[in-house]
Amino acid sequence: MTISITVRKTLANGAAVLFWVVVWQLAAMAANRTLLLPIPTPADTLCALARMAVKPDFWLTVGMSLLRICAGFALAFAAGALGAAASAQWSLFRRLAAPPIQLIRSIPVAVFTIVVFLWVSRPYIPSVIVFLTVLPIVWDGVENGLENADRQLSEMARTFGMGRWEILRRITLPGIRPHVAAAVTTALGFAWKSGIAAEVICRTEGSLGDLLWSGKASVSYDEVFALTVVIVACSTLLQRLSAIGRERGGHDTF
Amino acid sequence: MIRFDRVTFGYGLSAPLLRDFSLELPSGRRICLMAPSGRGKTTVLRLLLGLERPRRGSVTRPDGIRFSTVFQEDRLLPWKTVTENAALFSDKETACRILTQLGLGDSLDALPKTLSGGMKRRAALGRALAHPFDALVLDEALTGLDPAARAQCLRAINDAVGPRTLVMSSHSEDDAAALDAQIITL
Repeated sequence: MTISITVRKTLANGAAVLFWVVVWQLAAMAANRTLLLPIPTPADTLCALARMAVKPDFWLTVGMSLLRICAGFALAFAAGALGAAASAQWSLFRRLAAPPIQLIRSIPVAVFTIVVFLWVSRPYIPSVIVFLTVLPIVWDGVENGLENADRQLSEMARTFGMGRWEILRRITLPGIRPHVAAAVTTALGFAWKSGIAAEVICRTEGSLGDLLWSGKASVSYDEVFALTVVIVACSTLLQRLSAIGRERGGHDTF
Repeated sequence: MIRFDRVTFGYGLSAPLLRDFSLELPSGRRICLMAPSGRGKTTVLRLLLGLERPRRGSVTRPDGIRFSTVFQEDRLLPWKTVTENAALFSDKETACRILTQLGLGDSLDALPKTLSGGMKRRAALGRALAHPFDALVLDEALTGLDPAARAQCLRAINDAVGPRTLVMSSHSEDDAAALDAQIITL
């Protein structure tokens, strides 16, 4: 019964993707009849992807972009979680931290990238940008979770003699888990968008962003589309892995 | 011996709810606090558990005393089953035995959100009775239970407390009588 539901769900998702691929094909065919610049069809994109995929350097580039984005994400997650925990604990820290976090939240990626460009060497810029994009999302998620955490549950555990760390591990963290999970899902999406944008703006060598720039410069739009497919696939893969990790972890292990 | 010595307490800056409240509770005694709502029954229990500090006076408890509590709210972990909640501070076997005694034998693997109000009360009581305690503190623990479930719970409480201390708050003199608890009116 469970298998049939899973299969049905996968088929339905696949059908939805197929529907949009058909729409893309029809739109490309219609546009290519009227526009000067051809729009790559799904088949053109697939061919471009196949051309790039056989080059070993291509996968190294994908890996490096992935590494930069994941590094920025991991650092932002650690800093955001610690910062939010400190903020929930000490009101003075919360007051002091609020203005910079608000500033980071409001400044667009492009502005950040240009400013960071002045002080950080080019290969590290995407990680810094991802860090700055993800930090407020994780911060808000954890802070929200802690604010909404059921203090009555912690109080109950205390009266039964449960220690502080055990309360944190067994009551508080599982309680804020849904908030953090939602923040991680959102942050992963933004990490990819901002990381690739930073790679494009500062033309990081050996990156997907740089390949996108080169594709645009050489008017190889089939390659630009193929790279976009790779970026979407990587982002989806990371989000799926994070969801699987959460499901396997259960509620007790954070 | 648990002792409240001329305790004065109020929440925040509000007028004191308790003034010069004193109480001596030798080990093994059973008492039931009775008063109309808002007169400080829950506050006395919170002071006893160390969840509030008196403005004046003192509350002394034996060193290392282990409390088991049922609060006015069920305070069940929503992501854990009934058994897991009851076994939070004890072992699974004891938890299952007590839950079955409380009439929750068919709901051991259920999540709290699927239970009725009365079943949640019994699950919270099961958690308290499964934990090894020196003093059991019940804050209107039987509120909302039907007569049959109430009788079942009273029997289970009686068996579990035995010669140990029981401090409860209730609006029912019958509950106090069933548990052989001395009524103290606030």
